[in-house]
Amino acid sequence: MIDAEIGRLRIDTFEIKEGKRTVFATEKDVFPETGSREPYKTACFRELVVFFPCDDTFRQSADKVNRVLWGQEKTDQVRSRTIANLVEREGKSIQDHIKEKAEHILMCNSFSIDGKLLEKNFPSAAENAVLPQETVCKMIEELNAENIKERHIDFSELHETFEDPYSVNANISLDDVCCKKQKAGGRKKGSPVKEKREMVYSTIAHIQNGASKTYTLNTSTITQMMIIMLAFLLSNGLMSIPGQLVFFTDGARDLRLAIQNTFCFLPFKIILDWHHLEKKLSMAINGKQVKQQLLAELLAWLWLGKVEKAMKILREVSPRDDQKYNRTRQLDQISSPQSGLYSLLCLKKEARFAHLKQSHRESQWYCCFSSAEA
Amino acid sequence: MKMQITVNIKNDDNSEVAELTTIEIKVLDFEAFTGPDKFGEVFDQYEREVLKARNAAIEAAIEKYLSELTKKTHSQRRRNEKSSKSPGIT
Repeated sequence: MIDAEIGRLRIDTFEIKEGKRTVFATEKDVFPETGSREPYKTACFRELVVFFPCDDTFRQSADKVNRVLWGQEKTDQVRSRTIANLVEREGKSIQDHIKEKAEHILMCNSFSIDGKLLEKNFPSAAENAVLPQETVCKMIEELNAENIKERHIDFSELHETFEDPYSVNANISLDDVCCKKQKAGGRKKGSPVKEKREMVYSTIAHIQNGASKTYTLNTSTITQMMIIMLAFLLSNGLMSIPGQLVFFTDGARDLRLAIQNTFCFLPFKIILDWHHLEKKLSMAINGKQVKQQLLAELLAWLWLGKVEKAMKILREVSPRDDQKYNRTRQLDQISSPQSGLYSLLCLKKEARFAHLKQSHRESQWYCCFSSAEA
Repeated sequence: MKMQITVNIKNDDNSEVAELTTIEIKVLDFEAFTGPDKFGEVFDQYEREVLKARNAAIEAAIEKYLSELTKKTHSQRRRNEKSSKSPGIT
């Protein structure tokens, strides 16, 4: 039996025997072997079936698949359990294929299969990626001309290097994603409620090249992600041209360490994205009204790269002791050179800075810390 | 190897409603199926071609069916209008 997009095909099979020995059997010699009473599923059928569970439950997906295929007989209809098994099997085969391909790419480019560079030198051109000081000063002057003196950006306060967006080979947004684990067998009546909900963790990487083309990678661990991402960048020539890689992360230590370990042989920059900076600051301030007021003021200063000023404001607020601990901790996390955020640079995405056009579209401003300092 | 799909829409008296729709496509020879390892890949090419041809054949046949329907509906309406104007009915 074959499950195809055309329909369920029932095919006569036969065997040729010489005495007791089977010389030829269509079930083994022509068609791929399947489990007993399990139809072989064609590529078109599998492709069609796996579209639906992305958005719907397996039961809803089964209804939709059966509607599309017009399975009239109940025995010919696709069941939700079949879809669940199919999705799991397809997912596993895709992961295996990606792993195999990544290993092949790494080996072809003088890397070990766990992403370690086997040769001593890796060709790169770090100098080209950094903007000259004069260009940065000119930009700051232009920005300052539009602002009041208090809000002027002081170049001496910025301890950062500024990369030329045209020299950035890829912008990579990296984050750990956590979601509720779905039960394999569905809900059962009277089953005991678990104290802690089971979660599924995965690492997502969104890669954007200079031409703004994007690709998303998904793995179950950070280690796996680093290997696959390295292979992806090598395969797409994003590491063979002069320039650097820019990583946008939530500031998590494990992500930072993984990036540093994997890409230590070439220039890169890790940037704490604006969304997570806002989130971290928000976590540091308790009290709804105070939070709104303080956050607005802090972000306005941070927007201009005035980290010291922002820290001063936070310290001046008289906190309750329990809040103080939380706030100080968050401040230390984002401000100490050891933890990452060394300085804050704000580059406005405006037409007049077309030559510094920011390629990362998600955030208008960069909140940077150098990988060297981190 | 070729595959021909023919769609013929007929009246109950076996007279043709519209002209025949025939789609002919090239399909893989039996020799392409070299073994179970290659079956999936080869059959995928076959199935995709057949699905496209099936849809094209049915689409063309239904277009012809509907074209005939519009002609018939138009002449039917004219006939009805004529009969409603005739003095015998009023």
